[in-house]
Amino acid sequence: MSELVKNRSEILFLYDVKDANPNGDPVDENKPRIDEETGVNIVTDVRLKRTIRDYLHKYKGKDIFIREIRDEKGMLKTKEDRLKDFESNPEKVIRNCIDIRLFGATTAVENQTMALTGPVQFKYGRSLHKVDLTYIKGTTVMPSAAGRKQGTFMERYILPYSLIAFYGIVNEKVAVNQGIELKEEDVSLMLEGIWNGTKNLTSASKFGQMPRLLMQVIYKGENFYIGELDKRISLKTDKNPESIRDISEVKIDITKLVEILNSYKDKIEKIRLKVDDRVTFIANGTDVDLKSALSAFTIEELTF
Amino acid sequence: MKVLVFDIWGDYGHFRKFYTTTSPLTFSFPPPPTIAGILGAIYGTDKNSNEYLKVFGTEKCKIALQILSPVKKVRMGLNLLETKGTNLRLPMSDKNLAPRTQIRTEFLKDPCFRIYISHEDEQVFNKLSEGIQEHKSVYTVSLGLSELLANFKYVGLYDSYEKTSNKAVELCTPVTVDKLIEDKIEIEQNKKYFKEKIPIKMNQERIVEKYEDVIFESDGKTLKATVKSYYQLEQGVNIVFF
Repeated sequence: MSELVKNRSEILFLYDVKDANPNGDPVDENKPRIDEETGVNIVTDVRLKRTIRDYLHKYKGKDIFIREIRDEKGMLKTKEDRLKDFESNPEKVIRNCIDIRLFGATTAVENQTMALTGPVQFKYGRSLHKVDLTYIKGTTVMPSAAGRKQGTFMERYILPYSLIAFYGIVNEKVAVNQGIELKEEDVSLMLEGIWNGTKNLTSASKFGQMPRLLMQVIYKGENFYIGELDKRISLKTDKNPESIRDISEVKIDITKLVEILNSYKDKIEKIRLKVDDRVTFIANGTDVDLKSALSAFTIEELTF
Repeated sequence: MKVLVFDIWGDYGHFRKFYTTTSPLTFSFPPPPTIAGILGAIYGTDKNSNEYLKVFGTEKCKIALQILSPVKKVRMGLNLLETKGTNLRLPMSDKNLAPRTQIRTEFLKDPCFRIYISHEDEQVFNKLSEGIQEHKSVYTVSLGLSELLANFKYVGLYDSYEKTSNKAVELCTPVTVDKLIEDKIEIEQNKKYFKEKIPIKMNQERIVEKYEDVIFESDGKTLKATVKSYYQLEQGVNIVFF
């Protein structure tokens, strides 16, 4: 049996996409979401959660509450039906479904309301730089209707490159208050889902995603956390931000991150880490190895 | 009276206007019951019984707010699950029977606020102040929706004095209309004035008991108004509680 989560922790996750659409806006022609004021690319929290859920279900065989299930007629299961799978018992849902233990859920089904705040919350992911939005038009061999001689056109919007940072919090107090037995194993599986799930999205719109850095800062003592880890890193490049096309063309400045972590050294139990070897970090103007920059801490390398 | 001052900010905020259920719009700043919820998250009031509305309700807790960065609103499309039973069909088979519904939602962009708090109960006040000072939060703090995570920073604990004056004073907080004397607001140049109706008082069943019109300057500049009473902090800042 895995132990219950007892500590507050913060998660920082960096990944990049190349020639793909990390998250389309359904009311804006499925274009990648862009903050029009700054040109920064945005990815919603639910996109990342979907990635994690799909990975845990398809690759790890975990039961997931929120997923598309069809009956013989091809109809989708409603939340009522899904609840019935668990005898309409919220406790059973929590016990069985890892996604509910992590992210919570709200169902407004008659006489069976379940409103659980998830212990894990992510903020919208944001690219660390201004992105370039590109429109692709192509042809397909399938016609748009029967009796046509030519195939139809396809069109899509992609980003040539976007390096996205996600930030989240794991709150053990929420779990206790909501009656969720969140286990250490659940969080470890979620981290694996973040990393491998991102890599394993091989649909046309997502292929080309690579996880670059995953960091979980685990605190000791009650209720303390640093906050906004995503704002402590920045991107350094000689290129025009919009013309970045590869991770090798940028460096990730961790000066402020290392500074703040060091200043709260006595409040940090350990740091769990996974780094892609193509990333270059700099601190105080010189290239550094992330692990040696964090030498003051107990580092646990994530292996998956 | 001791006043606790702290700042709170995030990438986005969404404080839904009560009359916009299907195309959600946001208030320009969190109304007092929402701020009570934020305080409850930091303090750790019970989530299941809406205890925050009791502990940080208007009877015991005075709340004021200052807008620190200009109010900017943006709209994003959110892909939500269609929960009307009949619509959970094969996706895309029929446009009218789509399993998801796309909702344009309005967000505050780069919101940043300064919150002023005083509390009748010294123990509650001290525990809250301590939490904010040491950046300890029992539950996770967000700006309106769970994914709009926020950060906060302690500014200080200050003495304040209640004052009355029949002349207009410079106020750094929005002012509810019922606090004004004869509707006296001096309109100054280069300031943008807005009025929104916000919930002021909410009971523990989450039923709003009092709404009020509130006047504010959307760039966070001061208002010059004649008010029944206001509080002056030791460093000379004038505030009006909701």
